[in-house]
Amino acid sequence: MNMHSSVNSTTAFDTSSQSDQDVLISLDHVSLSFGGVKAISDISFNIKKGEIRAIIGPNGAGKTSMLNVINGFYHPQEGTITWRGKVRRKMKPYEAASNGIARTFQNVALFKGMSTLDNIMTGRGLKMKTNFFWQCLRVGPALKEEIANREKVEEIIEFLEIQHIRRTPVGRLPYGLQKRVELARALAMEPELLLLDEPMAGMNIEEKTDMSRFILDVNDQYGTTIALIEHDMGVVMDLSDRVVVLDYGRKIADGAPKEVQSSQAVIDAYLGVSH
Amino acid sequence: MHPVVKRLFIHPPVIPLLIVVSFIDGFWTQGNISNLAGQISLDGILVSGLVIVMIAAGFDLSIGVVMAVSGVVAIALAPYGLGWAIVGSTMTGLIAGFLNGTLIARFKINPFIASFATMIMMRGAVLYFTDTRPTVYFDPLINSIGRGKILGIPFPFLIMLFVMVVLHVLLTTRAWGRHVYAIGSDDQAARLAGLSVSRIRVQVYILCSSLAALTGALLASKLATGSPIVGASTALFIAAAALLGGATLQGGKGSLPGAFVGVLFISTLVNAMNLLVIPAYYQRISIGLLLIFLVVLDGAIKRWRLK
Repeated sequence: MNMHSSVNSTTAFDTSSQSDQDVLISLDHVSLSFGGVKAISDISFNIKKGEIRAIIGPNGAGKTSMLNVINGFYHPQEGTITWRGKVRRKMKPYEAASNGIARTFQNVALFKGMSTLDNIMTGRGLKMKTNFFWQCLRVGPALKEEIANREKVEEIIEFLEIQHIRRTPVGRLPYGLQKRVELARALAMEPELLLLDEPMAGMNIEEKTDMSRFILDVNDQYGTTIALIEHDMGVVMDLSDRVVVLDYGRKIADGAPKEVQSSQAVIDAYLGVSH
Repeated sequence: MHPVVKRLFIHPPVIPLLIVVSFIDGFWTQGNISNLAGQISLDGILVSGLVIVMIAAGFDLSIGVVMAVSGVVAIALAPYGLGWAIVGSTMTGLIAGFLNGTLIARFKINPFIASFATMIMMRGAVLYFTDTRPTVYFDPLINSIGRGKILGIPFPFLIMLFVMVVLHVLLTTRAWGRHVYAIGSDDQAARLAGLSVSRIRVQVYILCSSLAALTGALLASKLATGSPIVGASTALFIAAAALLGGATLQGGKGSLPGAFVGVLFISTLVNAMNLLVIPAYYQRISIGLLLIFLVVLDGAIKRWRLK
C-alpha cells in the first residue's frame, strides 16, 4: 500500500513502464573498484518481487561484492541503484536493514556465546520502538512489544525446526545448524529482500536438502524475495527462478536456469577458456 | 563440570582460598570481616560497571580517576547540603561516561587509548583544582552513608548487592542486555541486524562511569575526605577481578555473578596477605603472577578436555 503511493508520487519523474512495478531492486551500469582493481564492471540486472534470484560465477567473479553493494556495505563509483522505484543514495548497512534488506554471511556471523533464541531475538532489534527505560522496567508497551517479538521469533523457530536448540549457545552447534540460526535471525527482521551468501557452503547433502526446502518455504510462505550466491549448480538450478552469471566482474549471462545453463559463455567460464 | 562449580573451585579457586585463609589468625574476627566486606562492596560496584563494558568488547581505564573526581566533587559540595553532593557526583559520572562513550563509539578510538587519555586529563584536572591536597568535610549525615550499617551489614554492601542484582536481571532477561552481548560478540553483525551499536556503547560507558562515581562518593563519605589521588591502580585490579570471573578483552563473555566471585577472590587474597604482613609490592607481584597462572591453567584444562 505504502509502496504504491510512493510510486505514484514520483510518476512525474518516473520513466519506467507499468511492468517495472514488479521490480524490487534494479542495478544500472554499476561499477565498483578498490584502488585500481575493478571488482564489478558495468553490471545491470534487477530482482523482481517474490522471485528467487541466484548470482553465480567462478571464484573472484564479484558475487560477494555484488551483495555488499546491494546492502550498502559498498557504494559503487558508477551507476545507480533503484530500490522500490526510487533511486537510492549512499547509505549505511543498518539503513539497509531498516529498509527491509537482511542478509546472511559466507562465514557465519553469529553471536557465539549467546543462545539460539537470543541470537534470533537480536534480529528484532529494529522492531523495538520503546526506549531503554521502558524495556528495563518491562511494563506497559515494552512488555507488549517484548511478547509480540517473542511470538514472532517462536514462529520462526518452529518454521525452521530448531526448537531443540533454543537454549544452546550457538558456538556449540554444528555448522549446518549455525547457518540455519543465521537464516532465522535474518528472517526475524521480516525483510522484503533476503540476501544469502553461500547458504549451503560446507554442508552435507542432507543439510543441503533441508536448507533448500527452507529457502523455498520462506519464499513461498512469507513471500520474501531472495537473492542468493551459491556454488552448488544443482541447487541453483533447482531453486532459482532466474540466474545472473558473473565472471571477472562482468555479467556474462542472465535468465532462466535452463537458458543460462546452455549459454556458451557460461560453459567457457566454468570449464576455463583462455581469455 | 558444572559451570558454577568451576567458577567457585577452579576459575578462580575462591572456595579453596577461603578454606586456606581460615587458618590465618584473625581472619574470621568481626573487625576483619567487616573490613573485607567494606572492600568487597566498593570493588563490587566498580566491577559491575567494568564487566558490562568488557562484555560489550570495551575497556575503561578511567574508573579510578572518576572515583577520585566524584569524591572530591561530593566533598566540595557537601557544605551546601547532601543533595548537591549527590548531584555533583552523579554529574561527574554521567559526563565522564558520555565523554568516554563518545570518543570510543562515535570517533572509533580504541577503548584503551580513549579512556587512557581521559584518565590523564581528569587526573590532571582534579590535581590542579585541589592543589593535590585532599578536601575534608565532616558531616554526620553524609558520613553515615559510607559507614552506616543495617542489621550489622554495611550500607555500601547493600548498595552493591542491589546494583549487582538489578544489573544481572538487566543483562540476562532484558532486550538491552541481549544487545550488549550482541555488540560485544560481533558488532558488524549487530549493526546489520539493525541495532544502534554506538548508542548502546555510549550507554554502557555512562553506566560504568556512573558506578565509578557512586563508588567514589561512598568512599569519600566513609572517610569524610575527597582525595584527588585515590584509584591510581584501581582499574587494573578491577579488570583482573573481571577477567578471573570469566570476562574477556574480546567481549561477548562475562557475567555479574562471575565478576563478583572475581572480586571476592582478589579482595580475600589481598586481605589474607595483609594479615600475614606481606608488603604491598609483593602483593602486586603475586596478583600478577596468579592472573597469568589461572589463565594458563584454564587454557590447559580446556585443551586437556578436548583430547
